[in-house]
Amino acid sequence: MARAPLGVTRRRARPALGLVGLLILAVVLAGCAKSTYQYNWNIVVDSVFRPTPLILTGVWLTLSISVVSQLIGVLLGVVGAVGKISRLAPVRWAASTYVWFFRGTPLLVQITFIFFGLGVTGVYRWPDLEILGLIVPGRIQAGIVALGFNEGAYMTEIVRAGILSIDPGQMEAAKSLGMTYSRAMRRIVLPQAARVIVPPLGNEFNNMLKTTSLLVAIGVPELYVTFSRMNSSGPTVFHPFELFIAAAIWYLLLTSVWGLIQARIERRLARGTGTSADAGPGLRDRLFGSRFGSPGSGLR
Amino acid sequence: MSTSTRRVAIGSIAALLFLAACQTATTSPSAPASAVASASASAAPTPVATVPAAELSFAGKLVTCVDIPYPPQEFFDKAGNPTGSDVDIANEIAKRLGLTSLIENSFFDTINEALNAGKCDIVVSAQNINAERLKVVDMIPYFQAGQAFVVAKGNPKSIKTELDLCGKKVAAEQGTTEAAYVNGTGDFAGAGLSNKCVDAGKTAVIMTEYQKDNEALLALAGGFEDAYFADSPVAGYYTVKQPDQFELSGVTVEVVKEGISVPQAKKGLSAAVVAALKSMMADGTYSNILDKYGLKSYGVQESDVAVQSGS
Repeated sequence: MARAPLGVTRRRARPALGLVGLLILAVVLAGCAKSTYQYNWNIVVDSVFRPTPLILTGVWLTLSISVVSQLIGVLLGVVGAVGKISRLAPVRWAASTYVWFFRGTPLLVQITFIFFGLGVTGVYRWPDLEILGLIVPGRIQAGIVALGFNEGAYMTEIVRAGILSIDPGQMEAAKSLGMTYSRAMRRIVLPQAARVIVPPLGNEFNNMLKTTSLLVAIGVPELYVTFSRMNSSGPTVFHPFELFIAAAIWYLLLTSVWGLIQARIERRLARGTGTSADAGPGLRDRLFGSRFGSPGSGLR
Repeated sequence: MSTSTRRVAIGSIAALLFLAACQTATTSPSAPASAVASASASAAPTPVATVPAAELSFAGKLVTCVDIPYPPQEFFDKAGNPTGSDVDIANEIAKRLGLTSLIENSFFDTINEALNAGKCDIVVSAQNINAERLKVVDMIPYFQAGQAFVVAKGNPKSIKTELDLCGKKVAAEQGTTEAAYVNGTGDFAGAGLSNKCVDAGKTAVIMTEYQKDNEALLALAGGFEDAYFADSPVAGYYTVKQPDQFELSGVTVEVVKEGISVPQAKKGLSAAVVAALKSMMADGTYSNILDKYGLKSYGVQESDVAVQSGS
């Protein structure tokens, strides 16, 4: 890739670009300030630094729903990918149909169908369940199922790409050592494929943290819903500007922390491959994308 | 074009678009594509009042934000056109002001923001008049209703008094008086139904707010909720339309006046709406509209029709 030579000019241009950005922001804010809207910046400060239990519940729900849904997604992704490259045609068809359906229909349709559709007809009424001592409301279960199955379809393709990236010789060698197909898959192919799978998986989880806000459709009080309710009634009523800036900051916090964690995971996976740990993209590149990054990023 | 120049160009365009978006409150862009043309065809001979052109978001049009569905006040007819008493009242106001009526379907919890951002001229959407709303809009009384709890047929959780709702699951639309009444926010700060439950030594109501009112009702139908809470005409409408699914619990909340919302700065527009409403009441059109939807007992008096402003 012809990325490296761009590095020097990029770095010089960076402060200038930042300045242009700030200028644009100032102009935009000045343009907006002409209205009679009463700004209350305390709402932003309080929501971020002194969050109410309601906000913390929203953060917890967004985080926990994302983690569980992503885990389900990864699991389904591995199963789906192995299914898609299976030698048995019916298994291949089943996996393909699953991906076709969940990638081909809007997530919002899936969420409302799984909760309201199944509930109203009585197919499954999503009763509250006690799981590991926690009472999980039906709407949250439905949300996790919808998000997890949707994510599984995308993860199937990501995992499949990872498996295909491994030289077939690895599988042949494992088999010649007497390993069964599934053992060779688990011990030899998937661990190596993980290095290819993890970067896009991180991308998917970053997306998941924000996609949970679609659960507004079935009344799950996650982060976005919390802030939209604060806007509809109570002491911060009718302050959408400040409230949604605060919501955005919370989401940025969550995704930034995840960015840090992902960087560590990738560095760990890179051990013993000959690539130095420092060669991976740093936090800044991870957050702002490789285009603003130092030369060498985005080379994987 | 190098990538950095391109980036600056894209940034500038984005900023210009953002700026344009900031200005919608003051300029007059073309009518929104999502607005649905109303059926009011016959033009009134002479307008009862004139709205200053500067106070209309779209020249020659009166755009009304309505959160559909909330039957019988606002719903879609079989052809998919907005109808209901609020829609008819909005159309009639437009007609009497010599304007073309447009109905803009909106989300209830941000409907006043839509109004103040210039997406519409007035809101006629079963909004109770309360101090919280009067902080951001002026309101003109045009209707009055209580609030009622709907339960599944046979009242399986035997909800007969308000305190029977403690620890039960209740659904309502987000941003409504109903939600505030249960949660104890806004005008009911610290005195909501949940507060009453806690004071009585019971558990609080498990309240779920839905973005659209029909989703809250759907949740009751699906068995996810024990009660659905809405304005009494709406609650009554659903129990009459689907008697084998729903019934009224008998628990009701006192009658409140509903208002037409107008931006606080548009005094000419609110005066014109008052004049139009009064003329509708004087010639009987107002009670005919309410009658058409079985809402005769929910009307207000001509003497009630006056602009209410927050302090």
